[in-house]
Amino acid sequence: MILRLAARALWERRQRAGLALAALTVAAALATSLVGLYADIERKLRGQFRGYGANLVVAPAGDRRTLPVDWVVAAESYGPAAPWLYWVETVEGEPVVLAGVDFRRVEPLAGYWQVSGRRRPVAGECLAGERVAERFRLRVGSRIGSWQVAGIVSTGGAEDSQILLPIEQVARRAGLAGAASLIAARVDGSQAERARWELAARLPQAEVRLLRAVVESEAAVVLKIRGTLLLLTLLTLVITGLCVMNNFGAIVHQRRKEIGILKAIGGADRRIAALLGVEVGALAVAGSLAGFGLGWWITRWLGWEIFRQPAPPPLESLPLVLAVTLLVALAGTAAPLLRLRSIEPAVTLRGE
Amino acid sequence: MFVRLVRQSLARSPRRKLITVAAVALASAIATAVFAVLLDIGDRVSRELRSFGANLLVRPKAAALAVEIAGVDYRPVSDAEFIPETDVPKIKNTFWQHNITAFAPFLGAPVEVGGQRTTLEGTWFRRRYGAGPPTGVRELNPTWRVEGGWIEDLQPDSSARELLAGAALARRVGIRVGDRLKVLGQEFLVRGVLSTGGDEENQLLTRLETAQQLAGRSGQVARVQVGALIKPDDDFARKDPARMTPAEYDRWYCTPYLGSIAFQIQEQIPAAAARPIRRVAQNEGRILRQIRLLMMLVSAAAMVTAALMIWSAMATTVLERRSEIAVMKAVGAQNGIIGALFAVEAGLQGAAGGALGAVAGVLVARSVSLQVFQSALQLSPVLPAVVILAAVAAALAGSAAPMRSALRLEVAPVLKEAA
Repeated sequence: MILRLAARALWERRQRAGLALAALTVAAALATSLVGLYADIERKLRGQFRGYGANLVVAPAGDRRTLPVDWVVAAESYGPAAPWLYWVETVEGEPVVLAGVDFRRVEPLAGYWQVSGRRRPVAGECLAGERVAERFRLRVGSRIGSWQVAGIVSTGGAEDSQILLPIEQVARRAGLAGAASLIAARVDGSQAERARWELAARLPQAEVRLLRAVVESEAAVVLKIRGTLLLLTLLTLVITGLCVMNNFGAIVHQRRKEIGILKAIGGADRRIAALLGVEVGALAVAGSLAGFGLGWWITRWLGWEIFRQPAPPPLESLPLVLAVTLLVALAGTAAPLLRLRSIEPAVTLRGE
Repeated sequence: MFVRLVRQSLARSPRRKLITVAAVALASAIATAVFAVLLDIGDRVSRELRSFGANLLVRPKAAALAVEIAGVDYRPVSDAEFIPETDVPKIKNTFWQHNITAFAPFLGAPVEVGGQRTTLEGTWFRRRYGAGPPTGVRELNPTWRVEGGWIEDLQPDSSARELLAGAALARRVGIRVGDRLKVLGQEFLVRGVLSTGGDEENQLLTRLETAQQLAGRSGQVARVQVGALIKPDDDFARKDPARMTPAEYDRWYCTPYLGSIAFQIQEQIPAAAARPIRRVAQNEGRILRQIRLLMMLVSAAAMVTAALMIWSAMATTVLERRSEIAVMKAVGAQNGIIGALFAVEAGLQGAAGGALGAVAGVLVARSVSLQVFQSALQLSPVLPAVVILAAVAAALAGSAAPMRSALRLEVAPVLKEAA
C-alpha cells in the first residue's frame, strides 16, 4: 500500500523527483570518483617516481673495496636492484672507466637512459657513453678497444664518460670475479627507511644509503598532492551534500498542502512520515546506484587518462557511498519531516 | 514598471530565494576554491621537484673524459679544461633568469686522506654574487643534511681552511666534526659531515677559492650545476631548432624548455656546453605533465558538478513558481515579460550567489594553500569575475528549460492544482 502510494506520488511529480534524482546522481558520482581517485593516488603517484631509478645504494664499508655480487639478491627482495663494477683501464691510449653492468637487472632502473642503437650488448659488444663516443668519434657499429659499439647511451650523469660492459667481463679483466663496486636498488618510496635498516642489518659489512634527493622529493610531492586532493575532495563532498539536502528538503516542503489533506482525512503523522521516507529512500537508492556506476566509470577513465594504469574496481567503496548518499538525502528530509506535527491542516489548506 | 515588478518579486518569500542564492553560492565556492588551488599547482610541484637537484650540467666544450668513480677522480688535474669563474654569473643573464632557481660551480682536485683516495671539491655553498639572491649547493640541493655546520661563504675568503667531509668517507676514515685534517699540506678544520646518499658522500667539500688555490687554478671552474624551472618537453620541444621557421624558433626560444635554456646558457658562455641531466630533467617533465592533467580533470569534474548544482537549484525554483506564472498569464501578461522577469531574477540570484561563493572559495583556497604548501596563494584577479559570470550563466541556463515548459502550460489546471 505504502509502496504503491509512494510510486504514484513520485510519478505524479516526476519532473521534480527527476531533478532531485539527477542532483543526487551527480553527487554520488562525484563522491565515488573522488574517493576512488584519492584511495589510489599515493600508489599511482609513487609509481610515477619509479622513473627516477635507484633510490638506495649498497656500498662497501670499512676496508672492503668491493661487495660480493650475490648481495644483489638481498636487495632484490625490496625491489629491482642491479650490481655495478667499476674499473679504470687504458683504452686507445687514454684512461677510461669501464662500468660492469648487469643489463637485465638494470633495465627497470634505467628508464631515463637515452640509447641510440641497442640497449643490451651481447658478447664482444659494449655501450659507449655519449662523451666517450664524442671523444673517440664512435658511432653505433664502430669499434673501441676490443669491443663493438652496440649503442650510445646518454644520461647526463657519470655513465656518459664510461664504457658499459657486461659485469662478468669487467670482473674478469679486473681479476675481481664475483665482485661489485656497489649495488643500486629501487625500493618502495613509502618503505624506504625500513628497507634501509633491514638491509643494513642483513649486510653488516656494507654501507646502505638512501639517495636523499630522490626519497625526500618523492615524499614531499606525493604527500602534498595527496593533501590537496583530500581537502578538495572533502570540500566538494560537503558542498554537494548540502545542495542535495536542500533539494530533498524542498520536495517535502512543497507538499505541505498534500500533507495537510492527508492529515485532514485522518492520516497519522507516522504513516505520512513513512510514506515520504519511502519516496525519498527510493530516490536516494536509485540516485546513489546510478551515481556509483557513473563514478566508477569516471574513475577508471581518469586513472587511464592520467597514469595509463587501469584502476582496480572500487567495489569496496560501494557500501560507503550508498550509506553516505542515503544519509545525506534522509538528513535533508528529516528537518521538514520533523515539522510534520506542526502542520495544521486547516491553516495549510487555506493557503497560508 | 518592470523594475518594480522585479523588486517586488524578489521581496516575496525571501526564505526560498535565500536558499537558492545559498545553493548557487556553495557551488561557486567549490568552483573558485578548486580553480584557485589548481591553477598554480604546476608551479608549486615544479618547485618541489627542484629539490632533486640540478637538471642541467654546464661543462667546458673541449673537456676531456672524466675518469671518476663514485665521486672520486682518478685523473691528474692538469689535463682538464675550465670555464672562467667570471663567466659563471652570466648563467643568470639569459632570458630565463627567473626560471634558473640556483646554480653552483665546482672545481675538484684529487687528494688523499687517511690512505683513501678522494676528491677535494671546491664549490659555492651559499654565495652572494652580483645583484641576485645568494646561490650555491645549499639552494640547489635542499635535501642535503649536514651534521655540525655549513661553511658560511657569502663572501669569498681565500685564507679560510675549512671543509665538509662526506659521510661515507668520514665513517671510513674516522673523521668527526671539529677535527683538524691535513689535506695537500694544509691544515683544515672539519666544519661538518655531509650526508646526501650520493657520490658527494665520498668527497671533501670546501670553498671554491680554496680549491682553486690548492689546485693552482685560480679563477677557474670545471663545471657548473644548474637548477631550472622548466616546461615539460612536448612534441614541439623535440624539434631541431636549426630546422625551425623563424616564427617557430621565436616560440621555442621564448618557452622555458630545458633545451632552450641550455641553448641560451651556451650563447652566454660560448666555451661551454650545457647538457640535461636526464635522470632529473626527464622525470620532472613527465611528473609535472601528469600532475597537471590530474588536477585539470579533477577540477573539470568539480566544475561540472557545480554547474549542475546551480542548474538544479534554479529549476526547482521555477517549478515551484508555476502557479505564480499561471496567475500572471491569467491577468494578461505576455510570455516575453514573464520570461524577462524570471530571467532577471535568476541572473540576480546567480550574481549574488556567485559573488558570495567567490569570496568563500578564495578564503578556502587560501587556507588549503597554507595548510598543504605552507605558502601564500597566487591568485589571479580574473578568477572571481569568471566564476560570477559562470554562475549567472548556469543560473540562466538552469531556469530556461523549466521556464519554457511552464509558459506552455494551460493556465486553468495549474491554478486549480494550486488552489
